[in-house]
Amino acid sequence: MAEQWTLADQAANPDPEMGLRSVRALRDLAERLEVLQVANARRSGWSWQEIANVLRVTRQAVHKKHRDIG
Amino acid sequence: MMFERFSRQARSAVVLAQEEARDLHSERIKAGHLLLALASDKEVAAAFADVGCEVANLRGRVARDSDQEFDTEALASLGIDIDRVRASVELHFGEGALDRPARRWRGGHIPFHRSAKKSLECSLREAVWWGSKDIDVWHMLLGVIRAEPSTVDDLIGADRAHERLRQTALRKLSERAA
Repeated sequence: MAEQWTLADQAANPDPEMGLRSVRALRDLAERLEVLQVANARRSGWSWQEIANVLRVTRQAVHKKHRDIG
Repeated sequence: MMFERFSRQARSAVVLAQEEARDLHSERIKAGHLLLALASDKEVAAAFADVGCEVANLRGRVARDSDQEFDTEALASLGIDIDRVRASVELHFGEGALDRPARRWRGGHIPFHRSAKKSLECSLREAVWWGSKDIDVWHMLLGVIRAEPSTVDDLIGADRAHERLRQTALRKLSERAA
């Protein structure tokens, strides 16, 4: 519950510094998780199209970004 | 660098600094990690305590000063505990999975930030000045103080801390020389 309050407070944090930092921090974390999860999906036999559908991007976009994973 | 001149304690302080940097998920070994490592020496820890700095508080401030890939504080403000995320990711994908790939490939070796590099160079100069063939923990403390006086004040968390610690280090080295 306490954590939800924090999220509710900070999502609209009026301090631009902390507000912007939280946006960047989420983006950094999402980027790292994307690399791990796309690689995992490929290892599990998912096609680029299937991955793209879930990430809601085009197949070309996901392939271009992650093709070095294989 | 010039590690052959480091005494056993000073050498282990450099190794410890690397471990502190790794534990705090810092991308570089900074002057603060050296301070933290020096605090594992009982006499240095006592000197820090004399100016009102406990090791646990020092570690907290060094953690905030670390060059972390993820902005822990900002994530915490959103209710995200990065350590829990890390633990869960590592459970499925192996140790260090959340770290930047480049760092994993380097086998956990963490490069020195310029603040630590400069501190170590100044440590060597202190040892030379004192006519010592080895660099010991007090030379290292003097080196960090010489290289990064305001960082020392911030991390130790006391006004003019670097000046008071310098006096202590000079006294210890003089006693040893006598």
